[in-house]
Amino acid sequence: MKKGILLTMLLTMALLPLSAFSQMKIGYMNPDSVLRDLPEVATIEAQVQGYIEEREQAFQDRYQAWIALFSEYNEQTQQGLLTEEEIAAKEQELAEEEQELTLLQTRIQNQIAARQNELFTPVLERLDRGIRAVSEQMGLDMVLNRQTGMGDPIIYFAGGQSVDITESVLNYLLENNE
Amino acid sequence: MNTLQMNTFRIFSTLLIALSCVILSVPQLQAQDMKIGYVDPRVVLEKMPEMKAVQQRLQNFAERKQSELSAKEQELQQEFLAYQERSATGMMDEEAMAREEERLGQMDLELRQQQALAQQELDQQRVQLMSPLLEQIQGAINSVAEAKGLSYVLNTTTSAGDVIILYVSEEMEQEYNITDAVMMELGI
Repeated sequence: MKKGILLTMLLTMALLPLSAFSQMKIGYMNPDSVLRDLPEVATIEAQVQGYIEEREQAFQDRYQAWIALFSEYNEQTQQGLLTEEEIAAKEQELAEEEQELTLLQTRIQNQIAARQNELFTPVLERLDRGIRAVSEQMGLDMVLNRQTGMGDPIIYFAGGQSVDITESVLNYLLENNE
Repeated sequence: MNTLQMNTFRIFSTLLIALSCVILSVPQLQAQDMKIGYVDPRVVLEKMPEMKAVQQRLQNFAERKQSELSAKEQELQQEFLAYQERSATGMMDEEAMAREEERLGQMDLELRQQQALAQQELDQQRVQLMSPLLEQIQGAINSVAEAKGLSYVLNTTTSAGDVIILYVSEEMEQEYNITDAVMMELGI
């Protein structure tokens, strides 16, 4: 009787720490690679590219107009067709338009960044949900990024016990198109 | 129980205790090896009262450099326009035009060099002003990590905005996100 209690106690003591002190389970992945393989990302990239081209065309049109204005002014002054007052007015106009062009360029850059952001946010949120779902399924405590966006490694080495969830996340997202 | 049985039982239980000690110690050691915490330094920096002063000083510095440089840029633009006017009237011979173009090219090069230098100086200023704050944060991280018995403390995000930690489970978040603890340690 006494022996039985002692044995049970010892066995419980021996088994308990395995669950109480379970190791942290850490996985890693390459989210950029998942994004590259998602079909919707190609569509979004094409949309962004289209938008960039459209905005650049808008800038080009305005820039060409400025060049035309400048050439006209150059020719007219060369031929001595303009009075000093007219020259001053033209120069003023050219300078103002040039400033407008610089502003337009910044505005276009901001517009492109905003559009990119707007189009990519839903995908990034979906990716995040996928990472969460797969991590929970696999009972992971933490998932690290394998490398930065510039390609600098964060994880240089992952040994035999390590879990790369890149494939699982991609498959999850391909199967669960919510 | 006779003496022999008693002895067998003693030996048996001693062995069992020894065995369980071994079993006990192994996962504990591993668990100690694997305790990893993490911190989002941007959240801490944003809350530091010194940060406002640093940002203000950096902005002033950048604005001062910017106004110096834009004065030079305007000067160059005016010179360029003046040159175009003169060459359009045909008053300059080719040699004079080449000389003037070279002079303007030199001015342009100098302006670009000064712009690059200003950027470098701004970066240096940032490092210089930020480093005492980062040292304070590092000190607080060290104290919290030691108190919690952590082996590693990771950064969540690089300064370029790259995410390092993509996911953390809820239990992990509660136990090992030491961002708040670090701010408490700093008294903010």
